[in-house]
This record gives sequence, structure tokens and C-alpha cells, in this order.
Amino acid sequence: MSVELLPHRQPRSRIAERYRAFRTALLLSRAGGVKSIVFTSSFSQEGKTASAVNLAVVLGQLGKRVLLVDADLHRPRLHEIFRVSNRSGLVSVLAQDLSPDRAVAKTEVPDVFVVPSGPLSPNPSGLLSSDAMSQFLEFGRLNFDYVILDAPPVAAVADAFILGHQTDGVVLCLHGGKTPREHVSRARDMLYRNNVRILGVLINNLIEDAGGYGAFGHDDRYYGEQGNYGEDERAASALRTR
Amino acid sequence: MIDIHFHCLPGIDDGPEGWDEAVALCQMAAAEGTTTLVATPHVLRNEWLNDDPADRDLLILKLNTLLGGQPSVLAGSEYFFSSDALELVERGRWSPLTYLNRTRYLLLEFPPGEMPSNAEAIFHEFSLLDVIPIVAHPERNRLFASDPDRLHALVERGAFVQITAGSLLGDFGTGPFEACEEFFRRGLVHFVASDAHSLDLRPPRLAAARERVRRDWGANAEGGLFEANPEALLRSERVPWSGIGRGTA
Repeated sequence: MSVELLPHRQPRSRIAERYRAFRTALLLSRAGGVKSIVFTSSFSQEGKTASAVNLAVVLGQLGKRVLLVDADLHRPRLHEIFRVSNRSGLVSVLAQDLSPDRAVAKTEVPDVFVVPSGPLSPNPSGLLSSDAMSQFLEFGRLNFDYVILDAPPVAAVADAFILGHQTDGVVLCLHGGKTPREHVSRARDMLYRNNVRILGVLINNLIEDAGGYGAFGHDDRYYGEQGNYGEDERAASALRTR
Repeated sequence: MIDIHFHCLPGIDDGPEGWDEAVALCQMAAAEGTTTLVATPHVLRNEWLNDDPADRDLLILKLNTLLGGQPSVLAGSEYFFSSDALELVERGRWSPLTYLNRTRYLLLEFPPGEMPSNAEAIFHEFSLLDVIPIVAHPERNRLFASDPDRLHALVERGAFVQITAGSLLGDFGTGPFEACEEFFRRGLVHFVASDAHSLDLRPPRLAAARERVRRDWGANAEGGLFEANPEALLRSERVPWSGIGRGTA
């Protein structure tokens, strides 16, 4: 079974428990609370989309209304994970004047709503930095308890910084044992230089002590481990020590 | 046997030129054991627009009358994929597309050397609209032959794959032949059909291909590809067999 939506399909699994712990830490990470969150990574294949989806699921499980937005306009995936149409979406709102409420699709997960990317645009960064985008985010904050954005990796394009400025901050997703140290520090430096707040660092596929995990079978190959640090400086030091 | 890809309507594409050849071609298929075939003229390709399904129905009516049920000919089409695929699907009964035996299975081909960049996105939408695409002869498409991952991406989105009998027999050269073998190894083969066009250059040869599949991939694959799957398709049921090559055959 794929890891996306696992806390929904198997709410009592160890992975679901990990995401609930991550949820708790994340929501306590910033004075005044956290309402809009960007998920990114250093490169692709580090689990940012799965992490964004699963955080949305566990927030929905608290009875919170969550708007999950596919802001990775380069390689959108949310429409496939949730099996919703991608003929209109965020791009339609930003470039074609579609009313935001019409871009929102319900999902199989209670209280979780999704805005897919919509059609491919030749200018994603331009769209994400437009006034239309800040209006869209305002719409999200007004109508939902949480707005979660799945953004492209920082190495490729500036989109995650652009979104980071317009939200409460960024969660940087890493692949435990795989993302090279240099990539992590480079991603962190880029976020700093662009004055983007790092809310936390989420390490996927972290290899922990294997003892006692057997009962979870193959599902245990993947789980979210969170490193949550309220202040940017501490996030940096934690990154350095890993 | 059931043949789900067959050009047998005269004068409307690059299939048989006249009624004599059309009848002889169908009878050639019957002689090697084909009881049912689906007429799949090119639709919206080159000069062969064939965008009125009712015209095709009349041709099928006449062909069935001439053949007397041996074999019996069902309605279908081979749609040349284009970026307006979803709009065509949504036209419903006014669409130029004819699904195989009027089920939800849509036979489509891609341009010979490419896969349009939006194909994956459109296949995703197909699955939401309950349209089941069957990719015709990808082994003869240079992109799919050299990069089966691209084909796999479509299968992951609900597509099925039809390879051509002649490709399995080496009629199209080593490239398509080896691509078929790789597709088999990866479990990317769901149908074998003749794609017959003419008596001399592109005859059916489905029986020979069936023999080859039994020899190379086993009786299980043979039964799935030549019986269970096409039978399910005609009944508009889920395709039951999706083998993964020799190990499970």
C-alpha cells in the first residue's frame, strides 16, 4: 500500500501515530499558532507530498477543516492521490479567474478538501507571486482551519520561497539516510537567505532501531519522524547535528 | 477466437479496398479460428476522419449480411489520440468515437514516435469518466519500445495494452518483437489482436501468434490473452488476466 493516505486507511497504524505526533509539535511550534503551512523538500522524491497529505488527514481527524492545495505546478500529484479531476484547479483560479470555491474538491477523507493544480502553466512562479495568489490564500484562511500547500523542491525553483513568504512558514521534508547532508544544508541556507521561516524538519523513512517493529510488517518501512524546532536558529543547529 | 482490432470496412481507411477483399479478409480470419471480430477503422487520423459512427454501422450491417455470421463483426473504432480527447468523449452519442462493442473500452493509438505530453493527464481524467483506454500496438511506437516506463505510467492510470499478432511473429522487425518480450516480462500485455488490413501485406495471423504465446509464455498467458480478456471486454466486464510473464504463466 502506498504511504499517501495511510493514516486515513489505517488510522491505528504506527505511521498514523507518527503523523499525529508531528501534528501536535507543528501546531505548537509558533507563537500565535500555525494556520498556513508549505511543504517542500531539497530535491524530489523526499516525501513532501505524502507528508502534506498525511498531515491534512490527521488534522481532519481532529475535526478541523483542511484545505490542501497542489502548489507544485511543475509536477502536480494531489489529483491522482485523491482521484479528483485536474481539469481546473489553482492555475484556473490564478490565471483564468475561476472563483476559488469552484476549484475546491471534496475528498474521501472527512473535512479534507483539495485544490488540484489545474492545467499546466508556463509561468508557475509568476502565478504564485501574483495578487490573485494572496487573495486565494485569504480565501483559504477564511474558510478553513488550516491551509496546507504542496510546493516544489527548493533546488529546482523559487516557488517554495514565494509561498513561504505568504504563509506561516515551511516544513522541509527529507529522506532519512538518503538526502545528502549538503543538500539539507543548502536547502536550509536558501530558505534563510530568502527569509523564509522553517516551522520544522520532517524526516521520512528514518531508520530507527528495528527491534519490536516486526508486527507492523512492510508498512513499517516508511514513517514520518518529526524534528520540530520553534525557532529557525534551533532548526539549523538540529540540521547540523544530524 | 476474438479479434479486437481489425480493419475490415472497405474504402474508409487503409484497410480493404472493396467488398470482395473485405469479405475475403474476414473469412481468412474465420478460417484460422476467429469467430468474432471488432471492426476498428481509423477515426480522426489523416484523411480518414470517419467521424460519423452511423455511416460505419451501415457498413458493418452490410458486411455481416455478406458474411452470414462467420465471423460476426462488431462495432468499434481505432481513435488517433488528440489533445481534445476529453471533449470527444463528452460528446457522448454524438462523438465520432465508437467504443469496442459499445462498452467503455476505447481503442486508441498514438503517433508512431511519440506520446503527447498531456496523455497521462488525460488518462487520469478518462479513469474518472469511466472510460477504459486500450493502447494499440505500443510495441510499434519508438518511444514506448525504448522506454516501457512510459507505457507503465499509462497502465498505472487504468489503461490496457494491445500488441499486434504480427509483432510477436517478427513481421515488423526485431524492434517491435523485442519490445513485446519486454512488455510481457513487465506484465504490460493484456490483448493480442491482428490489426489486419489486407490480404497480402497485413493478413490476420492471430492463430500463429496464439501458438507463439503458448510456446513462449505458457498456457495461462494464452488463455488470458486469447479467451478470458477479450471475452470480458465484449461483456463490458473488468479484464481478468494481467500476467507478469513467464514466472506466473
